[in-house]
Amino acid sequence: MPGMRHVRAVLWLHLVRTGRYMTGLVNWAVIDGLWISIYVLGALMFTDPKDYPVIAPLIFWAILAWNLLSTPVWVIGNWAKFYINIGVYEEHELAGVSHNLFLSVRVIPAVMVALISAGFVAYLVHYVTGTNVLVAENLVVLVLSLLAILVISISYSLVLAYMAIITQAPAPMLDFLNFLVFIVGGVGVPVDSLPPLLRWIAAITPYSHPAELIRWASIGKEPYLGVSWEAVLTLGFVSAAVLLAYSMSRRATRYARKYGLRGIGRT
Amino acid sequence: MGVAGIVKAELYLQISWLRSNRILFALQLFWPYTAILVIYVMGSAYGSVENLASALGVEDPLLYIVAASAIMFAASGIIDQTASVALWHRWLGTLPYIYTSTPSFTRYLLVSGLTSSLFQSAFNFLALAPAAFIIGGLSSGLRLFLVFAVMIIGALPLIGLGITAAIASILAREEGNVLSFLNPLLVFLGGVFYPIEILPRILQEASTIIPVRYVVDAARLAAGFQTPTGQGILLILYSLALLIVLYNGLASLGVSRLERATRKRGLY
Repeated sequence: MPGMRHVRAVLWLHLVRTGRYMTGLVNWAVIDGLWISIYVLGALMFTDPKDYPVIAPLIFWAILAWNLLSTPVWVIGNWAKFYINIGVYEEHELAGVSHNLFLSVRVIPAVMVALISAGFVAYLVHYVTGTNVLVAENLVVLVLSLLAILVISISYSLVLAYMAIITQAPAPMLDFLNFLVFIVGGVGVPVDSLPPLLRWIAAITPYSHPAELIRWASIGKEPYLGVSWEAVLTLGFVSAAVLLAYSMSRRATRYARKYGLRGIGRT
Repeated sequence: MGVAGIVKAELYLQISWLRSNRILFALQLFWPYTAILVIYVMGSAYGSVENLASALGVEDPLLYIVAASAIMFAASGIIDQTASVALWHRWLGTLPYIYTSTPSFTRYLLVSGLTSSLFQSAFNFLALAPAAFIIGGLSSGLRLFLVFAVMIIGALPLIGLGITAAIASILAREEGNVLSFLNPLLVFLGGVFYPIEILPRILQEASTIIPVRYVVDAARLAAGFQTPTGQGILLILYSLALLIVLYNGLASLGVSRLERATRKRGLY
């Protein structure tokens, strides 16, 4: 069955590549962990130490969620420029291998980076606050919500990767948007803490709903729209993101077959 | 090509780059504000500015956050302009040409790194100047300028550190940008947004050889509305002077070692 053969081949390729560039991967995780720690420790300085047991886990899970949503954007979305520039796109096109498959499996190093850096941040926050941040009142919902964020993020990254085929996506813009999502998208802080206007923006930001569920599943903070509505909206946004990525992949592939790749030489 | 020629060429490069990348120019202006926004929005949601003032020992926490962001971006820019530029030339294949051109490699690294670092630092501080003026008027603007002046002194050891890192990368024939951890490490150990005393003991010890720490101390004095004691200022200046000697000494040794190595095996 060619499909399974392709899956095995692509998985093998990415695992070998991950192993070969392990120093770079660990380096990336350290860099992520250090940058995140700078912001987390900075935010903790606003907090009254007696509130640490509640606030520290909230900040930690928000940071992990943000890490899961931002890392794939770089590892998949921004990496598309190499996929295009070094000619790997054409190789896979000729071999009939799905570009979605090839790019999506890049999520392996993305998750590794996110988890290693989150471990570092968890240790540091625990050291500074004396609070165990790895708490969960509902582990199943917590894991599912983190997975929902990951799926939306992969889909968004694929959309960006395909945009690079028909146009150009400047890399710093990606990071800038990630920051905006973190601030106004209800990921970094609970939606009900935002000003009224930003609550509306957060409500239409796909990541805010699983983020609200994460806060509920970790320390029991009631979600802005209630658990049921947040769950329904999360499912809705996950489905919409997957469909959008699929439709974008078809459109970009058709475009590339007709006109060639526009992203060549551009970063 | 003399020192003035390198300075002119580097400034021309920096300005041309900004002129031909308008979107990135705008993003660079906004970047320091995103850092402030993340810290402020997240911090305010989970606590209060009064707690921050008490934790950092400053009377004007908002001005301090602005100054701290400027320091963070300036310090990162300095390492980028020295350590990462050498690696970038290597990736492009232009490193051997630069190495064999008329200005010596040492002079190129030092003068070009210093010029671009100061340009980037000034850019970051200017980008944040409006925020400082809005927060506290002329007085805050002057305080930010004072921090910038200390940042220029702090840039000198950072450039030495960046050049040392660049040389280590070339000698080790390291292809990946593994030295990129230097940027966040310097900011992390500099205690830009938090007191260094909250970190584990070993990290506190490590921070004593990080120039950013002393620039941050100066920023706290400036944002604290305190009359800085002569002893406090001297301690900062002496520490920075020691680090200038240490890192630039290391850089000089590294350049000699690089020249010997490249004569033997070439540069690639």
